[in-house]
Amino acid sequence: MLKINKVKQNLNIWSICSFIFIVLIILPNLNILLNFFSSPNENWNHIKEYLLKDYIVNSLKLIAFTGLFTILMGTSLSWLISAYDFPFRAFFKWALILPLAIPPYIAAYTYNGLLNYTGVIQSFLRNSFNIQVNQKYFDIMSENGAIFIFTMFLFPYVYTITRSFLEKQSASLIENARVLGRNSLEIFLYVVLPVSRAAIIGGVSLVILEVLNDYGVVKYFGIPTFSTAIFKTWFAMGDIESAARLSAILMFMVFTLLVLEKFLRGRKKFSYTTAEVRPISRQKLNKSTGILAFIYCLVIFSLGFLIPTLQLVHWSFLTYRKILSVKFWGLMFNSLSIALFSAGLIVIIALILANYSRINENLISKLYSKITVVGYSIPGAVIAIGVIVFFVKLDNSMYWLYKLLNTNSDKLVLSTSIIMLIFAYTIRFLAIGYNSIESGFEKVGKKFFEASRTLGMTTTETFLKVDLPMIKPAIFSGFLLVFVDILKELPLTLILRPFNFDTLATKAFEYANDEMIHEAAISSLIIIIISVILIYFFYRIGDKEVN
Amino acid sequence: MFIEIKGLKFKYKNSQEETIKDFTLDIKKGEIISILGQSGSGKSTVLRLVSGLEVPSSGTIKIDNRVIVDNNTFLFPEKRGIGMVFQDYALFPHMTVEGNIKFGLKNMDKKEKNKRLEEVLDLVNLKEFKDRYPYELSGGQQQRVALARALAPKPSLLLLDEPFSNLDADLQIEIREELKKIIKQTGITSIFVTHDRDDSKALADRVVILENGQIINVGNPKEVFG
Repeated sequence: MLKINKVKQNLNIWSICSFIFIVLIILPNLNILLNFFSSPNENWNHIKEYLLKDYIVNSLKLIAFTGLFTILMGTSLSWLISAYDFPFRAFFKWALILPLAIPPYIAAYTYNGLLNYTGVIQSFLRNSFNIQVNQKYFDIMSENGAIFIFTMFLFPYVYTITRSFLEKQSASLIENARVLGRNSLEIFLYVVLPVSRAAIIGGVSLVILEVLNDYGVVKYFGIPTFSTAIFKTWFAMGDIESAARLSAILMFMVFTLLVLEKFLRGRKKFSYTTAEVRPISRQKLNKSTGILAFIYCLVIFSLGFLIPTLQLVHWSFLTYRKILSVKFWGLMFNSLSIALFSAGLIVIIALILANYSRINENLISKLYSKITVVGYSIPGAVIAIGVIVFFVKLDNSMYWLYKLLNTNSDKLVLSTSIIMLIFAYTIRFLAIGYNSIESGFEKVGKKFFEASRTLGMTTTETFLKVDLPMIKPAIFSGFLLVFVDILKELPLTLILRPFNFDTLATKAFEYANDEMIHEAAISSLIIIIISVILIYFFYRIGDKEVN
Repeated sequence: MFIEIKGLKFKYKNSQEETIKDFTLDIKKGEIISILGQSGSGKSTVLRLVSGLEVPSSGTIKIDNRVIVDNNTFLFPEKRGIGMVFQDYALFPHMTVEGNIKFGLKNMDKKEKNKRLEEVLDLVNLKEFKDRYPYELSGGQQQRVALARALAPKPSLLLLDEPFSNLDADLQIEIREELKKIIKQTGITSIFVTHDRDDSKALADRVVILENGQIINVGNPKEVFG
């Protein structure tokens, strides 16, 4: 009898909405996995025989080297910044996050424009010194080039997570090691690296997920990987079945990675001490080592932010007369309005799911939050395939309804509309909004909710009057994060947008692909500026709060 | 009997043992009950079960002959008409004292609300503080606001979870007396939970001693403490 009661108690508008959202998230992805078990077509045999190995090897190579280099760069920088004092340390502390503001695909064509035959470097050498360089050394459009781009623009994931771990968690350990007479290198190798293992792995797995998600860089550089293969199989060969099969393999790789991450991290979470939070007391470097540290940071900052940004500014001056037309404002409007609308929708869904799982702490709600978060690790290409297959099926099964409403109705209604794109954004970025809101709820705790209930308010009234105003900052920051991510997003937008719908990101990518790199500059710069403002807002302000 | 609790049992999801084993207690109208026990004895859980914040695995609770929990019924906390003062007060930080107190008065019109606000502020002696925010008040003042907030909707039962644990030791005795005065003045039936036998002695009409989720002794303070 009491079991029934519990069911009744849990059945309300929150649980029903949450259930519907979760089903909508699962269905497209399930489609892909199920497709894997159907018998393959001829195309697939061809792919398997001649191409699949390349895709796997290339993807693994990109992952492995990018992972390795971001670890080296990210941890060394975070150690330098958190344990030592040197000129401009405070500036670099947050400036080294800025490479994240430049999406890798923008970096890729900017660097190509810088380094190619007509680019500023070669022209300068040619015209001033009459030096003709060997093109081989200036060709970034290769696998090594892609690794360079990914490393330079994704290492801040490792850097930020490891740095904040080191600053907050490890002070007593490091000071102890210093007292025990260990030198800096020994401390770094035997203390810092092992204790921050969990943070480093957390950071590098974000890097790897980004690499697997990338479509812009590998497409532009012409490297056959899973994401380019999925698009090619689908667009060029029109074989959606094989595309889904490739997606399933990629998804499998991602899940392996996630399991591996859990395993490598062990039982350690990011925070490991129970003692009070105390920053490390920094050592002042002497003049020459201080300058070396400064140069190391400056080189990385220049390569990862300053140089490409200046190049884009320069190109913007060359092209603004041509670019800033009515059409361009249309792009701006498209980009901003779809990002605003989707971010708003995502935040609302995240609020409902987070509130549901906070109130009902049971197995189902735990499962829900796992599913919600997993979307972010699924590469854009996979989500795109899943969503399109799902929407075409939906259209097919709703055709009678379209007919009923409009006798001349096309067969494909939803799958040619912007709803499909927004749906895909929601699956991919829900995790970001959700994590932010969930941590907001965690900070507030449950006692205010309970107090409100004992004062006669229902769950929904409590949500509106108590929870919502109290987690406003978390909602706001979740909204901003999602907003910028959508603004930068490329693969989903590229495939799922309705005909003739362009955004800043897709237009920039199209220009670059059509050998019109200069024309891509203004759109790119706008994306970068908005991202920089957000990073400044989050890390600079957030940092002050902690200190 | 005004309040009848019969055979209440409860187990937290991740624990092996039942937190509450067969809790039975009758309470007269206007009585002040103290549940005394060490941490982990389940004393706060009893309050959470009575207020409806947890669902018992079995047992019955009736208030004034109205069933609020049994095997077929579960009344949500907002339907029970029970006031609760939380251990750390849980005053809404984004509302003033006035906002906090009026929060539970949702079925009154504006005039009634203001009247009730004045009444309870008078009771806890905080009239001039009604526009302050919780963080602008001392611990003792916060507690009185929490009490006023819980009393404002005129609940049939008042629950207090460790009402003195967050206060400085030298304030405790003074505040204990004050609390007793307020509760007696309103004549409300109350249950408060504590780990300090001095609190029980000073405040309670009857003391319930809880150990490992089981009642091991009930009686007036003289009987229980000898």
